[in-house]
Amino acid sequence: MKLKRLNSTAASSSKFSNKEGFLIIKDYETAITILKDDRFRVPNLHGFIERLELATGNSFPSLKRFIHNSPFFLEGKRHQELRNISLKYFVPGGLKQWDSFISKKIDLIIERAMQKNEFDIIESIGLPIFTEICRPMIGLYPLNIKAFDAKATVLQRLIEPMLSLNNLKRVDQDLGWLLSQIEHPIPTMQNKSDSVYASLLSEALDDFSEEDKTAIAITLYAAVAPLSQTITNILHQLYKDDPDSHKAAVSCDQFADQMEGCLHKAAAPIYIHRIANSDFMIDGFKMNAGNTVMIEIATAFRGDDESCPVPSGNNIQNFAFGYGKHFCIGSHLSKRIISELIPKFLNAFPKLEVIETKADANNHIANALATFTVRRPLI
Amino acid sequence: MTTNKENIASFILEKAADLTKTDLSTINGDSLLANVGIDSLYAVLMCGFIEDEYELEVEPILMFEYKTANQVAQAVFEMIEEK
Repeated sequence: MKLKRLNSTAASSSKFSNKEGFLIIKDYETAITILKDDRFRVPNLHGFIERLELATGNSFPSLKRFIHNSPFFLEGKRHQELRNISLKYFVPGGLKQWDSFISKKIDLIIERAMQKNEFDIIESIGLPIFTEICRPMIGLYPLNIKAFDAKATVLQRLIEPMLSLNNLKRVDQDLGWLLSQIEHPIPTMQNKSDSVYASLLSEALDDFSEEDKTAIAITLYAAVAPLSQTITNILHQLYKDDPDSHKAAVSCDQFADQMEGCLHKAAAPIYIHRIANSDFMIDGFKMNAGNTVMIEIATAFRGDDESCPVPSGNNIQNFAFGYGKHFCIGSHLSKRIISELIPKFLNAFPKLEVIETKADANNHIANALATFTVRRPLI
Repeated sequence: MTTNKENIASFILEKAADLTKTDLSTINGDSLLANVGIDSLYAVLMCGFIEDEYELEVEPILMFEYKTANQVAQAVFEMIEEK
């Protein structure tokens, strides 16, 4: 265990580095130790917002509604209930009915890209996964689809620690607007009860109002954003590594073997965020109640320096999708889509010239690209 | 009133004392804000006050980057100068 070196490994460009009470974890071994320790909890955002309401006289009704219906902000009974409600749609058995739909959509998305010589992978591949595959599955058809999709990502921003009061007010307004956009589910390609939202509405759930169910569906939809970003990151890794030949760095077969490794390094979420729930000593290191621990996912698997080696051995646990009771509900869906889309894309585009890449500088909690333009090389 | 580092630091101290129910006379610009009891909630509130008073966008993480009212005041002053 290497908790003692926490402060010495904080050389990072993260806005959370070198801040009092913030610990950035960059090595795999320490990360796993913390993730397994129940004294580290997910941030109690609901409690925080209630205290903020009391202190300021402001109210954040939509924010509280979403936090109360988002598994990643909860612990305990409600968390377990929400996981049970959501997981059944996203385990392999629940996804089975969508199998041919997903495959057809992947083919269509790639075929469309093939009609262009130059295209932005975010627009042509990343976003359609969000809007053409996951929207019908979740069954959300807002009144203003474009604005809804843009604002849905505000939920991702909520994971960022220490949003300002004005930012929280804006997020509350945006979330209220998202709720107001959903009137009713529209039948999907099979029948009305196929979509997650339609199914949720028809379920008798004592502790969940209709608005709660809408919030759950929007949360699940918004949670797809990291999948789109992760796919874009994987493609970026595969094509940027061989700039001379413009060939993808691995073949389809190689990708199947390397998928888990790719996910570690290309995962869109930068951090797993935990809070120490009390004062305690851990391996000689003093942890104070309220200390924020941020585990850098990609760094922990990359091994940036000697003090943070690349993890080795047979028992390496993947936490690109979170860990333990907060393991990502959509991980099966993500792997289902990635494992089919990437090999098909590699087949369709064995060679691509990377024209422009630009990181999304405003996103502090996800490794996301704002631009990723590619071109087929001239023969 | 002219905005300078000293009156920004005074503003921060007054708000910190008020929020944490600390006697203002017991703290000064070099007191550690963590010792006064500034936690994440107070950091958000403090930055809200600073935003309103100086018409700035201030991230609450600022309160954890700088440890004393004088240090925070210096950072806020630089933001005002850059505005």
